[in-house]
Amino acid sequence: MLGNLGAPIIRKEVFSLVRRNRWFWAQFIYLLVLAGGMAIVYASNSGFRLPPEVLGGKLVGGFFALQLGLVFLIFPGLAATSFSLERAEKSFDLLVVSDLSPAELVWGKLLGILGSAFYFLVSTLPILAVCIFFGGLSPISIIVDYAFLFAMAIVVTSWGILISSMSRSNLLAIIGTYALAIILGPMVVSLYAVGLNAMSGARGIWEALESIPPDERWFLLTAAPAAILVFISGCLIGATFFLSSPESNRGIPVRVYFTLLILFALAYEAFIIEPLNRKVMSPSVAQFGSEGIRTIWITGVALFLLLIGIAGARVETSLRAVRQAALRPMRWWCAWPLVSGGIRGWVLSSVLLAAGFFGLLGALSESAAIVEARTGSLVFGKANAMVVFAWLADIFAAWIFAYLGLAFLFSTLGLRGGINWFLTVGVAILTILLSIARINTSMLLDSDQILFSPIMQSLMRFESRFPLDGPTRDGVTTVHWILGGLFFIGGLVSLRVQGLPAIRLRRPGYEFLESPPAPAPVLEAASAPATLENPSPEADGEANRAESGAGGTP
Amino acid sequence: MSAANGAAKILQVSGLRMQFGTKEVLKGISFEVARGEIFGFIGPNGAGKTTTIRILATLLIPTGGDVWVDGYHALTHPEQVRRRIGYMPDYVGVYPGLTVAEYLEFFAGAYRIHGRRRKSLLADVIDLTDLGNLIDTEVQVLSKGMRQRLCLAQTLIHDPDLLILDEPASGLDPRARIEFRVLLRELRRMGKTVLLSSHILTELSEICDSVGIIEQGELVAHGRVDAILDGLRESTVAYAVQLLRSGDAVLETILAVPGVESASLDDRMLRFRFSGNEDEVHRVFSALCNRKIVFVSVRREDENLESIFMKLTRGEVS
Repeated sequence: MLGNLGAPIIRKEVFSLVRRNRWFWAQFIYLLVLAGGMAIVYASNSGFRLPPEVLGGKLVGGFFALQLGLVFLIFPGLAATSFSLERAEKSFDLLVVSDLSPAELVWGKLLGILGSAFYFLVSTLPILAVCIFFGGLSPISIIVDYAFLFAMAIVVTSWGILISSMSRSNLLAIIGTYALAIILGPMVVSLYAVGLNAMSGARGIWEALESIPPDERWFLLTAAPAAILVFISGCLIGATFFLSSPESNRGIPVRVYFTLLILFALAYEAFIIEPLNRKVMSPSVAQFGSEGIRTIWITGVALFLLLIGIAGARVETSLRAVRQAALRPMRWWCAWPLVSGGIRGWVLSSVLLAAGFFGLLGALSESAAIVEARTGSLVFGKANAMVVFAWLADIFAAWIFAYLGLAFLFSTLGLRGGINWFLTVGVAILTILLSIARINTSMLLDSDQILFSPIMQSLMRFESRFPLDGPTRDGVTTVHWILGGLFFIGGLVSLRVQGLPAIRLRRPGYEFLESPPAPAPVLEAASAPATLENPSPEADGEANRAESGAGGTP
Repeated sequence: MSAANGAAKILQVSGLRMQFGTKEVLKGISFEVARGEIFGFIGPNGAGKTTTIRILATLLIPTGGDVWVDGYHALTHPEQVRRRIGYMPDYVGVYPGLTVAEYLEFFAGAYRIHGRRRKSLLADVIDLTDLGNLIDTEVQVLSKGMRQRLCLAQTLIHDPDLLILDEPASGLDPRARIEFRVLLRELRRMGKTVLLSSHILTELSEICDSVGIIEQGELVAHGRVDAILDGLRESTVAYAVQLLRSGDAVLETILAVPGVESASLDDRMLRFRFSGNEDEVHRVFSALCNRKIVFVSVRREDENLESIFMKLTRGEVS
């Protein structure tokens, strides 16, 4: 379904990366930095007369921490220019006119970069071997750490490919990728650390996790893989979308892939989140957390469906939205996020990434809330901030959910006139109000258990003037599920958009000839007058249209 | 399944319009290219040549108008169109680290050409473009001329019917230009249709069967070169006469001859336009001889593509 996984591109990428002189220098410096770092770790611990196995553990910890840092340093640089450089050199045009699909280009770049970078990670094995000689390490932990390292390499490369796919400037692509790595990287690493500590029973700031029964801790371990999966798949689909030419109808594999991802997301919600919610001790806190994470998942599902609709189906849909939008300025607003390219692409992707960012923070906050409910103590030190983030996530997700989703849906359905704008904005406001109401309710319910900052307390006092109680809260949940269901159906419908016969690639006022025109008058030697034809463009076009009539496509 | 397979016109462009923001770059151009001919797309910088070519190559979506390649509409059947065209941009960066053979192999793979067909096509293309002795050379060390050859080879790798070449000879030295022209003639002999753009008219005038002249997004002329020449040829014929020495009586003498419309003298170069038949022009030279005005050479100054271009265009960009 993804062709030959971009085999020609993989080969080309590996050759053109590895054969450069600077590649060997980069690898040399990489090993030098790693070895130097390990020497510092050893020197800083050797004075404490630690048992060898403890020292070994610290060395391996340092080794993977350093490797992770280097992954964040090197891989964005490799991936950031993957497409922007091709664009700058105009070789991208040659790829577009070839038989390679956008999905093959993306996979080819990803696997090519990873294939080249694989040597970076493998070349450090001798250093790891020295650490292992100290003992005290389980092979499983090393395998898990290496798996995480590779997973992060894929994630960072995916970020780079996404940013590169929508950037025309190399500099912007590099800045964007490193910014993303700096902002989102620590979050994924934190999720991994939380999960790992929950499973290993390590003490310290994770002590509170011990209060969770062991059979429930594996939930925390799933957070990092889920985030990684979401990031990788989201970035790859995003990149495929941005690389697809407007008339592309190559989206079927992409749609199949993301349909599977959505099924996974729904299964995650149904079989992991929900059962866990039923087990936790504090109903109110748990409810708060489950609300947040449910919103995140439903929003995620809706966003992916939107992406499927946009990237997978023919982009006539969004162009159609543009056509509608061009009729009245406000409708342009509705369609604006759906059109790729330039600043729009940046805004759209920023919104999606921000939604993911807040969503993951919301997920973190749920973890915090659950643990707080069990222990009565703060887990992340500043759980209040996490709670605030969770609320922001809810509001933000609701807004994105309503605005982007409804704009897409309405433009797909072809609703015209002021009703489009009214419905989009109206439902967005309604959803935001309902979300605030739910947050308000949650705060009142949980105020005896969660420590609030002065700012939050003043917010609470302000919001308590407009109390909304239980039924509203249930109503909000229902609204979420209804909207989720609505967009799930909308997304499924969008899978069929390609088959809609009436939608063609047209722009406002685009008169479309279905068959070649009758032979146009061409100056021949005998043709008189021997003046140079200076055709009136419109007249010429119209004349051709009139002559051709309605014919069939070839 | 092309409806127009075997049809005389391989490319039909009708009412093509393109607008970037408020700027109208193409204002409804229409032209056709017959199968097997070399079509020159001429225009000053900024006239809209590259935009037109990118639309033909399915890289841009026009604001309006239609493009058919071999009967397939470029907007509704872009993939069919792409299989029939070979596109060469005005500048292409090559992939460093790859050899010439690997570069061509990559594009053969990108066009899903495998097995024996790949071997055969690669051999043919390398032979045609005379890259045989460079196949193990890394592409980044190739000269500009060789890179252009390589790019043309890449354009031919899937054996397209229509070649769309954007300024293929720009930046080439005179020898490379001549070699490139030979290559284009060879392609025409093989039955390929070539559409190439350039603002260097001498290189087009020698190889093109038809031309389209574009200025400010409008096609100011198009058709066969000889037809355009005939159309523009004036009723008078221009002559240039190199005199042995200049003199005051020269202009007076020549303007007195019936049929001489105008005359100018620049140092020892006499230029005049004569409206009579060719067999009457001897009267001019007889008159010069009678006045003992000695001349050493006579040259008829024909219209060429360059003069046509200068007449038709004002050198303004859209």
